[in-house]
Amino acid sequence: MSTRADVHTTSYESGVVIARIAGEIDASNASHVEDRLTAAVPNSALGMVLDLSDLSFVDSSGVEVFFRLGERLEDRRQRLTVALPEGAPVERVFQIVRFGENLPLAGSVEEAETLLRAAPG
Amino acid sequence: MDKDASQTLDPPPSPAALDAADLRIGGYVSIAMFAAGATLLPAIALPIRDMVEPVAVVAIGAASLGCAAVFAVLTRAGRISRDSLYVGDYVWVGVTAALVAASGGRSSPFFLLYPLPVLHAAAFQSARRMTSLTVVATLAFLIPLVYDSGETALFLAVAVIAVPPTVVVAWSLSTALSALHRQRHELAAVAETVGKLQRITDVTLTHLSLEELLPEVLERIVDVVRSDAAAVLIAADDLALRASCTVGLSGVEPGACLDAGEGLPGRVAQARQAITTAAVAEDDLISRAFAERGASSVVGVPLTVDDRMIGVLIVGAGGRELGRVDADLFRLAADRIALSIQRAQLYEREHLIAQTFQRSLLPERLPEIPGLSVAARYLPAGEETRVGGDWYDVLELPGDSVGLVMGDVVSHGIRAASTMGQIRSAIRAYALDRESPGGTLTKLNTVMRGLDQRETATAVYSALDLVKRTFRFASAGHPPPLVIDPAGSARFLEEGRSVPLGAHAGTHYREAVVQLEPGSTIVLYTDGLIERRGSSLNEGLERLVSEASGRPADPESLCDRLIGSLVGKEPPPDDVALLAAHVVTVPDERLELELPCRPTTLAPLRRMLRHWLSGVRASPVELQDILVAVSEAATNAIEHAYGPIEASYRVEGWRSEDRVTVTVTDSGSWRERRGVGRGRGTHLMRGLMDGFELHASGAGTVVELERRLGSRGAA
Repeated sequence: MSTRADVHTTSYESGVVIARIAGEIDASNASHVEDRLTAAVPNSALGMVLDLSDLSFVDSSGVEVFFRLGERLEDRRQRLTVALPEGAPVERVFQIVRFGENLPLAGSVEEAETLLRAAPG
Repeated sequence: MDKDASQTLDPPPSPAALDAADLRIGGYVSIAMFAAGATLLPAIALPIRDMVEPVAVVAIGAASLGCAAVFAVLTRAGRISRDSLYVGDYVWVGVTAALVAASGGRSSPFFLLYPLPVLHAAAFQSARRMTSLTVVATLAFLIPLVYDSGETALFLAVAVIAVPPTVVVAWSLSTALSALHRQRHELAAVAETVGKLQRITDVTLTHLSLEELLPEVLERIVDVVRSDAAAVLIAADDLALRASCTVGLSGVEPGACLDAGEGLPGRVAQARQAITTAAVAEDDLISRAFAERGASSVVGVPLTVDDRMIGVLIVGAGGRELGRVDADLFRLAADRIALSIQRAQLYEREHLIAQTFQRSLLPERLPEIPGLSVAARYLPAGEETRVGGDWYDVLELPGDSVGLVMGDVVSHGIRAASTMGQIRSAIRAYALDRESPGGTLTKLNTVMRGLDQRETATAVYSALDLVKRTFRFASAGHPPPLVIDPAGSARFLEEGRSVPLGAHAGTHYREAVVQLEPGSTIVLYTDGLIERRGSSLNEGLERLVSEASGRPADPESLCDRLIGSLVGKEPPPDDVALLAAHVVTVPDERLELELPCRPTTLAPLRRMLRHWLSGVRASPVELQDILVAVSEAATNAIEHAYGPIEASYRVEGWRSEDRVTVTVTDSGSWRERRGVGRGRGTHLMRGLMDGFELHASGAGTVVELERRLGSRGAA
């Protein structure tokens, strides 16, 4: 039984792509998840909201995927915001790596979307 | 066709209609008359043989016998009709006339045979037919007199004088007999209607659910009134009608809806009176279905209770016209059916409310408790019985204990569910207040005695200490808890028993304690699990012990096994609640794993680690922290592995006192992972654990992770 993550992306006409990740991310599937996420953001998009409410496990391999994705989007003048509700299983990992200091972190998808739109450029 | 085709009533059928049985009697009388005539002929002819032509006697006798034979054949074949009887009467008159002519005219004794067909016709023919027969017979009677005397004038005079009184006598006689007939038929019809009504409606008393009631009632209506199809539509609040049940119809989906006033059913509902019509007269989906079934006559009657419109009953027949008698019968049946539907609707409503309420009081999900694996089942009783008051609960108590509760309120329905809710809340409150099982039940008894409605309940309340492995329990008249030891042998815990809750004021509830071996399983249940029709409670308990014994099973499969063998697939006659709690074996030995250096081993590693950690009673947060830290260390070990032969890494874990230590060992040298997030893995391990040590040597690298349990989360 290898590690499984389901990535479900939805693109909206407003230019926002919402990606919901359910399952686990570790070294065995991190690059696969990264490819899926990168491919889901077209050049025309404003940016991406990552919905991590259903992510049950993540280690540094997964966290790095998010950071790299954030940098890549920034290079393309796009934005990445993350929705992580309070009490989510991966919350402690995000606290310890001080995720919020590097990327915009919100408590819900709606907030994350608002953050994305509010961002300059 | 339009409205003219339908009418609320049709004309009454001929009241003196003869049924098949009457006609058979008529047939037998005809046989007897002709046979007797043939037999008596020689006897009467012998004394007057000088006046008789022997050839004539033989011919007439043979004709009589022939007639008797014809009637015998017709009667036996059931093909006798009124008309054939009538023809027979004329033949008789003819035969008699021939006899009289052949035996001396007016001095012939065969004159006496003339009245016989008249009497026969009086019994089986209408007054008009009888009168004409009488006139013919009288004239035939008179002819020989005239023939002999040659006095035509006298004949006419006698005829004129004789015929009217004969007609009057015949008419009155016939009318009196028809009245008798009619009365008898009306009585029979009433008895038949009552019988039919009874057959249709006695079923309404035996079923509580509409799903069973309606098909049964409709089947009987179709059977009893010799119709082809029937349907019941039930009215919604806005008078729209919904097809609830049909018999003999195709193409009507259950629940198919008719707007208010639509089609025949709608008109019946609005008019609130019976309507008889031809199926083709309407174009609603119900009438169409009846027409497709070939029904040429359809009756709709309203179902009402206390002026409230409940629905419509529609019955259709193809082979015959449904008449007023049928409509009257449907009206009578409809009253009873409407009452039953109303009762069933009320019952189903209450049943649903009670069921929903009761379900809402059972735990939606059992808590995840480290060191304990729990499974529960709840099976509601079959539909006919009422909602029971069984409940169970699993509570996390202060300290290392878990509360296990199983109970059964004696009453049923909404009341039971509400009592159950109150008891459940009270137990939770006392349990969190660290009250002992005996003390909890003692206080609960006081609560029960104080309820507005006096109720009794049986219950087991127990506290299972997961560290000391003690099971402390008190039973209020409940079936005894069952304990299965790790070897699989099962026994009942009979101690700690007192009377049911609410039975006596001031009862002090005893409690008992047993020491459990690691790997034991506790089973709590309600009597529905062990009760079976036709066998004693003791037999049920014995079955439970024997089914629970043997190979130890995890709680989920244990529950499946017990339900499968003790209850089966059919809904049980009483509610069944079952709770199994397995004290997970605390692994005394260390966790030791050796895995190949491949990323695909990470998920299985976490699964095994999760199992081991729940065995050492790590909380969900602790478990998640350790999983991440070990995953980081293992990922490093996997990345270090380069070389021609496949390397492996080792994971070891142990619990000592209040902490868990896990080491991850590989044969490579320590390197920070490459990439942007360099050092992030180490950072996570330090942050999540209370202790992080790295021992690197030429032989390999050992990462030692340590986490305290049962305190605050680390950093």
